[in-house]
Amino acid sequence: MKRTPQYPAYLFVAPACILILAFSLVAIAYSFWISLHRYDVLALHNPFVGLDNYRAVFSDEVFRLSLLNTSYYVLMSVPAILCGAIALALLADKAGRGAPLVKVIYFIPSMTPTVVVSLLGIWLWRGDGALNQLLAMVGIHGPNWLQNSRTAMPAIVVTTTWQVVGYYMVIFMAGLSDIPKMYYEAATIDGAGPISKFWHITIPLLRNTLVFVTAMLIIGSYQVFTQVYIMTNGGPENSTEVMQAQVFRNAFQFVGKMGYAAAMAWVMFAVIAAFIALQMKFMRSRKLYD
Amino acid sequence: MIRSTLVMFLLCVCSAYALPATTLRVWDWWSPAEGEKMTAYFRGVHETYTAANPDVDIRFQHIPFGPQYIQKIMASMAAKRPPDCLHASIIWANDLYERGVLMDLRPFLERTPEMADSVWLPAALRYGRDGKYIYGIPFEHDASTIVYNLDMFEKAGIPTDPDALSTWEDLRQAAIKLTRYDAAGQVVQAGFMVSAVDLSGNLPWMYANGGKFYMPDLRRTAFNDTPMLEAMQFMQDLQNKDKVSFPITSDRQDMQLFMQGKVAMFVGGTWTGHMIEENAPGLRFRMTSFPRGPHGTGRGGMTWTNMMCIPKGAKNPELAWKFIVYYCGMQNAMWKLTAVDRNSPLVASYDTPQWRDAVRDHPSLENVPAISEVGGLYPVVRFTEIDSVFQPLCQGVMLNTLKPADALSKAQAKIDDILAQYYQQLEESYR
Repeated sequence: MKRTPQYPAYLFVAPACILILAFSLVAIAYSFWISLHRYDVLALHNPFVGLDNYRAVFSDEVFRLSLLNTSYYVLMSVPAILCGAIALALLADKAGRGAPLVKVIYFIPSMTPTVVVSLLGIWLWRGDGALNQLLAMVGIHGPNWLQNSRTAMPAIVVTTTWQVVGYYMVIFMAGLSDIPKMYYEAATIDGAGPISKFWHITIPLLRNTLVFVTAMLIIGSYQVFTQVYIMTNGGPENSTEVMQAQVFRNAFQFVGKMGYAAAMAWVMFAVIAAFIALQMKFMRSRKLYD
Repeated sequence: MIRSTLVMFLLCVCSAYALPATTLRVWDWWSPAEGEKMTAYFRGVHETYTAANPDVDIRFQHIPFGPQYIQKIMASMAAKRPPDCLHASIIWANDLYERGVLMDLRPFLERTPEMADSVWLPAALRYGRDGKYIYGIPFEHDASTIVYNLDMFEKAGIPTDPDALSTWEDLRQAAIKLTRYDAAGQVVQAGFMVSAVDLSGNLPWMYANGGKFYMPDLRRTAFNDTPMLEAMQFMQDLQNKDKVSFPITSDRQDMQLFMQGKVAMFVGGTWTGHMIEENAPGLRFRMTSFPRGPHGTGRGGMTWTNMMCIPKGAKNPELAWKFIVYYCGMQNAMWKLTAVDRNSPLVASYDTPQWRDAVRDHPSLENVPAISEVGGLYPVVRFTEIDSVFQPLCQGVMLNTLKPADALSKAQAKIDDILAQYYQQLEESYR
């Protein structure tokens, strides 16, 4: 059967396509072009410098440190959020009538602006903050968490985990609801315990949700900025300086370095893409329960 | 229907003719949002200027200080629609000038004797100019100060004269005397708030110790020397050995703590007085410059003068200049003093009944001219970038994980590199 072209359909999708093309694809391509130039919007000449900006990025001590710090943050926050969200989703799933209340309680921080959560984080972690006051009750003198190079990043990770874990809990709950109950019933008849059911039924059947959540978390965590900017502004001693902050500083605070900042942004994109590719390879390569 | 349309058309035409002929756009980070005094100040400016220039519709656009301000300037220049004039901080005015954003005001100045060099304090003329190119007219004259609580000083038997603490050692002894601890040894009243976690927190001490930040050509730094080394060591000792300060945290509000009576001395600015008076009426305090360091020759500090500029491509440069003459001139200087207790870089402004009245009503202003006079130069080339190098190193020093000498060596190497790259970029891209 011959299909007739649906021209009106193209008209309907055209506005969205044009907007995406103009404000996303063209902008992305332009940023790559900028990264190959010593670029400033006010300069009379923006000379082509080839890969010089990229070479400079890799030899920049602070950027290398920010890459390490960001990776450290990702390695801590992604497993923490994943484990926390799955645990909460399972708890909420078993909560019966109380499930909606559990969902609301854990979802509230996700609706709170990151700026507010970060300010709460400062009050929680500072030397005379809530946490240290609790510790003092049991005779422990806590450090000034955000002013210590070793504890500042973990403090940020805990704050972020608290904020976003509820959001991913809801996604995992949706994934759990898609698992047919008969698998659990069959496992129960076969004598499987809760841990066995979790590892052999829940986790494998949550694979698609896990892949999605992990990918989103890796992308989001590599772009961490607001909470770091507010809670520590990269300090102390650059121990919490992250890649996104470096891009922001070079692009918008240190005037005239837009080309360099664009190169940083592309390096950041490459790092995220590499992690996502690895994750896809390991998490989507095997098929189960076909 | 036709009749009502016609009436509407005529009304529109008439109202268009009734509008002032020209709009003057002024960008400023000072904002009525800062408080009642600032609201009154801008209302007064608007009324006075409009009364004298009824044909001009003056429109202040208030933009937050910081990266947003610079981004907006860059965007407006790229779009070829800059404001007619703008309030420029010394932090980025030099960078804007070097990148060709700011107009040379010398032709305007040559026909405006009331804005001649002789009317300004000498310290104000260190900014806004490069040889014969003048890109900014002094508007506000600020300096770092040490703000101190008179009641606490008197109670501790420390003299309250602004020059009484004449050396770093005097200040250290006073700070120790003024500090109170709880049973666990935690500071509950700080004798002196150490805030030397960035460049502007350290430089007043370096200048008070006879140091310099730049070489004379501004292309290399000169701070890696004894005066700065001693300044950083002094700050490190006050924080970690003498323990006269609250711990350094990202959200520490020194002025708030001072107003709450928990701090005897902190580093503020000449503008701090009116904020304290507005928020803590009745608190008795004074301001002074920084005492002399071991290698200094006298009191010191850091003084800077933010300015009014006209960007290249401004629609109404003549009108903008007329506004600058009014805004930076004596009439507005007096209004600024009355409305927001802010001093002016005009020499004559300190010899007026208004100044004497202001000092009588706000005694903390009394020492402002002396504080401004002894201040060293604010780093004007690539300040934000070089401060980003300095900050983590200062934090290391304050947290006792880095020796001041190591911090300074690292800072000098990096900052000299930044300056070299910057000047190379200027040659290649902007000239």
